[in-house]
This record gives sequence, structure tokens and C-alpha cells, in this order.
Amino acid sequence: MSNPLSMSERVVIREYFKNPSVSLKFIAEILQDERDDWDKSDKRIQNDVDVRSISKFKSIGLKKIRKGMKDLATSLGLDLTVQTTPKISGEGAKGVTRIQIYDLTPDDVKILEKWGGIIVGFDFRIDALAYLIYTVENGFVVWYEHNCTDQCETNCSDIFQLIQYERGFTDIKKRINLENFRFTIKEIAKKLKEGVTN
Amino acid sequence: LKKPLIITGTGDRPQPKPRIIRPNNILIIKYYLYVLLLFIVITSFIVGFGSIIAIFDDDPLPDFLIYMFIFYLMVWLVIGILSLILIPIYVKSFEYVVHGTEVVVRKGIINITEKHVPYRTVTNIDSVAGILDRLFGIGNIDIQTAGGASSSGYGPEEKLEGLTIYNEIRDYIVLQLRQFKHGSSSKSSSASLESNEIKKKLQNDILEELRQIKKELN
Repeated sequence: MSNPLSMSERVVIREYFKNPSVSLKFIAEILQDERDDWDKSDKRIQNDVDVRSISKFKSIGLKKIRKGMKDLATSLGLDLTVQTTPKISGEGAKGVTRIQIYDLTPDDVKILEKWGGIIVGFDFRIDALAYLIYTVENGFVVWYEHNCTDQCETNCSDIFQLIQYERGFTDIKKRINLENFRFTIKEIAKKLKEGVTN
Repeated sequence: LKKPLIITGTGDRPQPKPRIIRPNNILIIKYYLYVLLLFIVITSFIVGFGSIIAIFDDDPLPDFLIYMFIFYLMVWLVIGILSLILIPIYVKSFEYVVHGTEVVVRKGIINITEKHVPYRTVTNIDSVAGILDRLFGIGNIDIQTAGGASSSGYGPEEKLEGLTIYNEIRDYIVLQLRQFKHGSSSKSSSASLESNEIKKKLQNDILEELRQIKKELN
């Protein structure tokens, strides 16, 4: 469940996540180069790589990631609804209280889920937002929003740096904090949006 | 296969804002099924009753009974069309919000009700999943209050219907409830400790005063 992608799909998704507006031809060249070093006994990698097969690897890879994330979200009991419609009157507040959980817009959430291998959900049992993120190296990672202490900072920072590296950030922030993390997720959504519209 | 890496962290979490919970759209289908089942039960009862009359009575069924049955079917047609339109709107109007101090339930099309159930009045919280619910993978949470009664006069005071992650939400409400009750009990216990200290001080003052009087009398 942790990494459901094949080797070829991983390479394609890795390059796509690094730069969502990258051309399929460029990915095909990289995959062909990498395949030359792989074990030739595997029949699946004996065929030549073309743009069509890259497009297929990309769509199948993204589909597998989405399915894996959905299954994981269900097993963790996450609430995936996007909180946008504020209608209830707040305690002691006049008129209507605005309720906004995410920093992300509903459009960002959709793009992240469909194209970016990231799901944002709320875990009622832990009472915190959870980010389900697909990383090519570690498979699925679930990060619950928290302020890091000395005990968890190394682990959290490693994951944070890996996410930034895999998503093609040039200015990698080494220390993790909530603000940086949320900002990174927003930036990923922005990059994806540009990549999808191009 | 490797398990996913789950990082819950050791530090404190940002205070989550109140979260709106909405029922799953499957609830619409469940309500449609209820209407269909009601139609089947009543119609089979009427048809069964008509058949019994037809068996024991040699004469053919009077015309007005046939007209009545046609009218009955037309009424059901209207009910069916209205259900098709109104049930989705009604279900979409459901909103549940779990605050730090209360649960808010908002629903209705014509009469929009917003009910606030404060934690201090809550006595029981149950999660219920009937046959149809389990078939559709949803469940309900019943909230009962001290002395409270539902609008129908029986059953729980508030019902959060059609939830997919009802167990998690129930646990969350229970947790909020415990925190609330624990918080208020610790507050009241600290208040009683304070009043005990004041009482003790007052008693000591009186005792001192009495000793002074005794000394002066002697």
C-alpha cells in the first residue's frame, strides 16, 4: 500500500511532481536513460519509451496514487469535506460567523487531490488536520498538523525536506514549522495549477 | 508491503475551529427507499384487502372502489414526485457543528431550525447503524439530554444522521464532552477548596475572638 507504483511510473511521477509543466518528451528521454541501467530480463522494460507510453504511465500512476490515498483516508477515518459554507450563527457573535478550516481554497484542494498526490483531511480522533502526501521515495506519508518539539523535529524536518525536494523547490527550508508547511502545500497547489493549465 | 509513515508529532496542535459536518448523499437514497417501502407496504395491504373481498364476494368490485384505487395511486405519484424533488433539498440542508461547548444542528427547508445542545445537558451519546445504514455504509449519532425530548415526543433529542465516519465523530463528541465536564468539575472543586479555606480562616478568627473575651472576663 505504501508505494503502489511500478518503477517506470515512479520515474514519470517523480519528474512530473518536480515540474508539473514538464513536457512528456523530456520525461521519455529521462526514462529511456534510466531504463538502460535497469535489469534487462524484465520484459516490461524492453519496449522503447514514447510520449504515448509516458502519458499512460502518468495517468495510471496518478490513478493508483489517488486510490491509495482514498483507501488510506478511509482506513484512518478522515473527514475529507472541504469547509467553505458558513451558515451557523456563532456563540455570542452577531450575524454570521465565518468558518474556514483550510488556508487552501476548495479549488486548491481539488487540484492537490487530482493532480498532486496530496489529500487534506480532518481526523476527529486526533482533533487535527492531516495531510496525506505521496512521496516517490517513502510512499504514503501522513503528517498531522502540530508544532514540533525536540523529539519529533528531526523526523518531521526530514520528511519536510524530502517533500520540498521531490516537488522541485529550489530554496529548501530545513526547519519545519506549521506556517512553512502550510505555505509549501499552497505553493505545490499553485505549481500544479500552472502545470495543468499550460 | 511497507506500512504508510504516520507522523502524529509530540508537540501541541493548533486549536481547530468549529467544523461543519454534513451527511453523506447516500442518506437521500435511504429516504427514497423509506418512501418506496411505505408505498409497497400500504399498497400491498390495500390490494390484499381487495383480493379477500373479491374472493368472498361473487359480485365484481364496485366502480367507486376502482376509482378510489386510481385516485390513491395518483396521490402516491404526487408524493413520489415531491419526494424526488424535496428529499435532496432537505438532506442538503442538514448541518452539524461540534463546538467546544455545544453541538449545533441545523436543518429544514421551509422552517429552518437551528438547535443548540449544550454539553452540560447531555446525558447519553449513542451511535446507531440500522440494516439500511449498514447496507449503505453510514450511521447515526443520537444525543440525549437530561429532561429533553425530541420534537416527535420520543427518541433522542438530537440525531446526527447519515454520517460515514460516525464512530470517529461520536468519539470526538465524547472527548469534547469529557474535557468540558472535567474542566467544569475541576473548576468547581477548586472553588470549593477556596471556600473551605475561607471557612477555616473565619472559624480561627472566631476562636481567637472567643479566647480574647474569655481572657478579659477572667
